[in-house]
Amino acid sequence: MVDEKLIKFFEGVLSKTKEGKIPWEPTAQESNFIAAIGGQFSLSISSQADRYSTAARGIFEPLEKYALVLRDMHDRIATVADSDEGIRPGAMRELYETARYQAVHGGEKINKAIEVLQTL
Amino acid sequence: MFNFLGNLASLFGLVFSFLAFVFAKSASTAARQARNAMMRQSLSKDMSSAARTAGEVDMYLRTDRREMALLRISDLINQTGYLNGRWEDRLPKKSKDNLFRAVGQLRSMHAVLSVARELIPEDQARLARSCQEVSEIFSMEHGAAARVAEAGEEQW
Repeated sequence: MVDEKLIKFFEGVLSKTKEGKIPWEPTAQESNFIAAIGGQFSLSISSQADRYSTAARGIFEPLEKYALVLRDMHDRIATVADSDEGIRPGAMRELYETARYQAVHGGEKINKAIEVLQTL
Repeated sequence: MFNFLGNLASLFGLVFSFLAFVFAKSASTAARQARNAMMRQSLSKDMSSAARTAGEVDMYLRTDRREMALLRISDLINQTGYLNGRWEDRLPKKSKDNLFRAVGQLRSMHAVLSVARELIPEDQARLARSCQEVSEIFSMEHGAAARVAEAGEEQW
């Protein structure tokens, strides 16, 4: 059972991410994105293929596991995973995809791709 | 006559007390300014040292010396923790955010380099980008600290 506060924290991160107020950025790991907030905390969202589920479901249906980590400068404070009770199904994936899209400047790149398509 | 001399002595006493107060206050202000100047210099030195370590990480990655790069990344994570701990009350929010970003990038670099497999070109490209970002952060923070050290009290 996840603490109510953690669910509130997760929903806060999701809503601020959708508003574009969290400066997500890519890292050296392909499926990990970080952001610093308020000079006091850092956030990290990552996805990882769940090997056991993947094996059970077959190679064409990999199941990703997501985790949101809150840290201060000294330590890891909390981890919220999509499997945690109380997290809406698909919400963690939505956060991951939104953060990733913003971190890689997806909007700008798609606009550019549309321009390129128009020149073809 | 004695009464007049007594009054005069009191007046002199008052003047001397006032002068002593003024001198003590200016001495205390000078001491505080000297202490702050020393601290500003110290912050600039700390940031310079971190920027140098970031440069070493970059050099080890470019020359494919993974073990050395890992060592210096760990050092830099520790240095950043020290920087934040020591200057927590003095650093502006933006600098603290920058230090958090640097630690996040360093952790991810450490994770990639710790995996016992050959790095693919995509890994190397991401590592180079993260390394560049860390170098930029510490160079920028060093510049900001040096500027504050030169500017004096009003910006500290």
